[in-house]
Amino acid sequence: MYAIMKVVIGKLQAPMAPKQYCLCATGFVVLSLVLVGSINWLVNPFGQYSCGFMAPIVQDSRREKVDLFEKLDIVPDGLILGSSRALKFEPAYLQTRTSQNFFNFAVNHGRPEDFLAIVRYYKSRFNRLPKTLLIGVDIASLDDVIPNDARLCSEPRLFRFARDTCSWSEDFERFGQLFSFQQLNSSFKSLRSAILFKKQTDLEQTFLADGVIRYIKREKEIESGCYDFESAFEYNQREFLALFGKLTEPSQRRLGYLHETLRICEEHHCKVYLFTTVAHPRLRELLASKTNFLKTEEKSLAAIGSMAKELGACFVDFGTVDSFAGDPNGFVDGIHPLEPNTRRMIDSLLSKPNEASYAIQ
Amino acid sequence: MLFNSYVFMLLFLPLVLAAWWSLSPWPQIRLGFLVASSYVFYGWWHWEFTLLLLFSTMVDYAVGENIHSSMTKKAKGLWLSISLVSNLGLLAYFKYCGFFASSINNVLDAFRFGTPLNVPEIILPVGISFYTFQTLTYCVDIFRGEVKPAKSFMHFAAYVSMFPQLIAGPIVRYSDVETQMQDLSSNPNWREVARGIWFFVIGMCQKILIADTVAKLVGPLLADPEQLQFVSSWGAIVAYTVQLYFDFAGYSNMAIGLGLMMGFSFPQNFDSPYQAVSMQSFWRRWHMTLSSFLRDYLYIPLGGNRFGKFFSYRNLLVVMLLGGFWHGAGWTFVLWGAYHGTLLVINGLYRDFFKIPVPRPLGVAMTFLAVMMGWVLFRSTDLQMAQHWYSALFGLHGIEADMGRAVVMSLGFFVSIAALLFCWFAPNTWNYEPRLTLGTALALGVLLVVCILRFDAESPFLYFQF
Repeated sequence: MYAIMKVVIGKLQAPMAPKQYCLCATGFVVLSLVLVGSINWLVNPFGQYSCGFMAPIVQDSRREKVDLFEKLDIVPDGLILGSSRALKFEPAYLQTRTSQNFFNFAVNHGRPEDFLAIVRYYKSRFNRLPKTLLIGVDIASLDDVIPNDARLCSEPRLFRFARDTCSWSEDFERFGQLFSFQQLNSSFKSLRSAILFKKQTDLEQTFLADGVIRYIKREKEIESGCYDFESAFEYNQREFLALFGKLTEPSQRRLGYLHETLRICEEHHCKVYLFTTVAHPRLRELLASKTNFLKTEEKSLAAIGSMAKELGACFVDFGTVDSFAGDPNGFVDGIHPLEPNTRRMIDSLLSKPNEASYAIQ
Repeated sequence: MLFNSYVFMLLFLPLVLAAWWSLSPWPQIRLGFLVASSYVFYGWWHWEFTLLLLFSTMVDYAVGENIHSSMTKKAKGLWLSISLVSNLGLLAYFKYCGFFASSINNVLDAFRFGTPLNVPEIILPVGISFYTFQTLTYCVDIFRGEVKPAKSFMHFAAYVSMFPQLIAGPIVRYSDVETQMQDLSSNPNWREVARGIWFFVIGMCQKILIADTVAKLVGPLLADPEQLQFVSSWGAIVAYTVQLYFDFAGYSNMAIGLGLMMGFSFPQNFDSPYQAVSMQSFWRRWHMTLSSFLRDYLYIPLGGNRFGKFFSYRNLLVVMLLGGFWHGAGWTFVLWGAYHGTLLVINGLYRDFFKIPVPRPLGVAMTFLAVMMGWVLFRSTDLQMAQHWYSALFGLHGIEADMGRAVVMSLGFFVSIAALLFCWFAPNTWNYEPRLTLGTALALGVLLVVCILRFDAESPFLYFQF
């Protein structure tokens, strides 16, 4: 052993020619990256790449929603689109109010490119558009500071309808993520679980057949009265303060996707209800005092409002709880409303005049 | 484009290096390629601003030619003034316009005249402060007869836009690279490439492993400066002191390393500044290319120390005030410049009148403390934040109400202290020549791979904002 170590140390300390030295260092880096990239591509822990040897360890709302949608027995008359902040809009409640059959197609970090992809996907599947569309728009989702969600690019059934929304640099960034520590770490976790035949049992959330989210753990805690709202709120607070610190103004690119979605809907006589998503009053107050949130919001509202007017959509600003007589306690954290609030938003939306209206409050 | 991004490391850099050395038989095409790739590098952020870079390059190239061909001093001066107006005009518009408008509004508002001026929201083109200075020095140096005009427009464009140093320096003068540009090496000097790899990897580690790690402590603490108390304010100031140095020195080392890989030698920009024994010594070690720029193009033309002590102190103050203002359009930067000017004057007075040598450890400690206190102004977004931070440092907002936060912070604090020990006692990157062995090659390779794995938390360099 000692002798081997001596030989190895001797080799490591032996002087090298500069060219050999440079090639050695570069070669080592290249080989290491190839190894890391191959592991991450094969394990694909976040489901970002087309490789399907192993099941991803994270939940992907886009994949799950498409799976659920394709299992539906009846073609839904209406869709609910949006981000995680629209995941609690209940198709069942909408059905009692409209007699139409809905599916909640909201996805995590849902942005205009997702809306466009989903509408195109629906159209290609049924050769028509739904009768009604509810679209919840996050103010932040209109800014170019936030890139396309990699999970849209990795869901082939949706991505084929959003190819034109993904830039070359974003594609490359996804490739670059193959070499990230976070992904490597998750690959090892995934491999360990596979080797030990461990199944993921501690799911935080799940989707019902109509696409509505169930926060398994949180809802149990809320029922038993031991839910720590403040911790959840603080998390959003940190995230949103950082996010709105970076935002500038709605991008023409993202507004363009929203415009295209509305245009297709108008062309196919699909009734669209557009609304901005709500934040907890305390978070809103904080964002207003510490970031340029209000300015960004004002610009976004003006842009969405004029677009809605042009394309005959009904637009309502639900930015504040007061705008729909909501309940400040009806939130699971700083940004995700629970059923009491989503129902009130639905009531408020549907109480708007039936004809196309421009209803910024 | 950032050096610490996948697109740079995995695509841009390998392609550019491969093409650069493959094109060696055709020097003009090679320079053209360097210019094109540098414009891609710069335009990755906002392609529109490449037009600004091109404009600045064209104006100063033409001005340089005309200064050289003009016969009279007056005509030369006239041409130089065009360069001054163009470069300082660009800076004034993009960097200072909003600041001046809001300052005038504030003054008028104080006298109840309201706020009549619209404060324009202008995006600051990244690196503008650096490349306008470079083009300016080119014209001034031709005016002074210290350099000849560039051999061709491509030579000059390559000098201005050279991507390793385009965005955050070091501020390279034309005289630094003139001969290198005219006599491009056709084959890589592998010893220099090895040095380049060393500089690049060390710079990357400084940025990714130290500055960004410490930034995770500084960011949350300063996100809400009103919450700062005694413990957290000291934690923040120490951590920011470390972050700024490793961030900026890291960028400079990477730039120098990239230059060496391409056969260019750029000037040193940092010489272990936190080991300085006096303020004068600090400014000889911190952002050295800016200091020498301020000395040669501002301090000496103002009279330097040729007209006695009083004028020399006045010149120091003026130079540091303008140097502070160069860093950013805000009163905090003006104050920061004034603070350093004052410290330099005190330093000079002590040296001139007391002449008692200060023991080295005491000198280092006092200089470090003074510099660190100045970073409060440098980092603060406005005067209120600076005021709050200073009062917290002196315990005026209590010791620490949230001890939980203090405990979490102390972990980051230890990282900062470890990094500071490194600053004080480790040799400078320039003074250490690694042995070319398999062990060092593998060690550098491992460090670079670790850094690349951390690119997922991509973070821009602090000096990009200047």
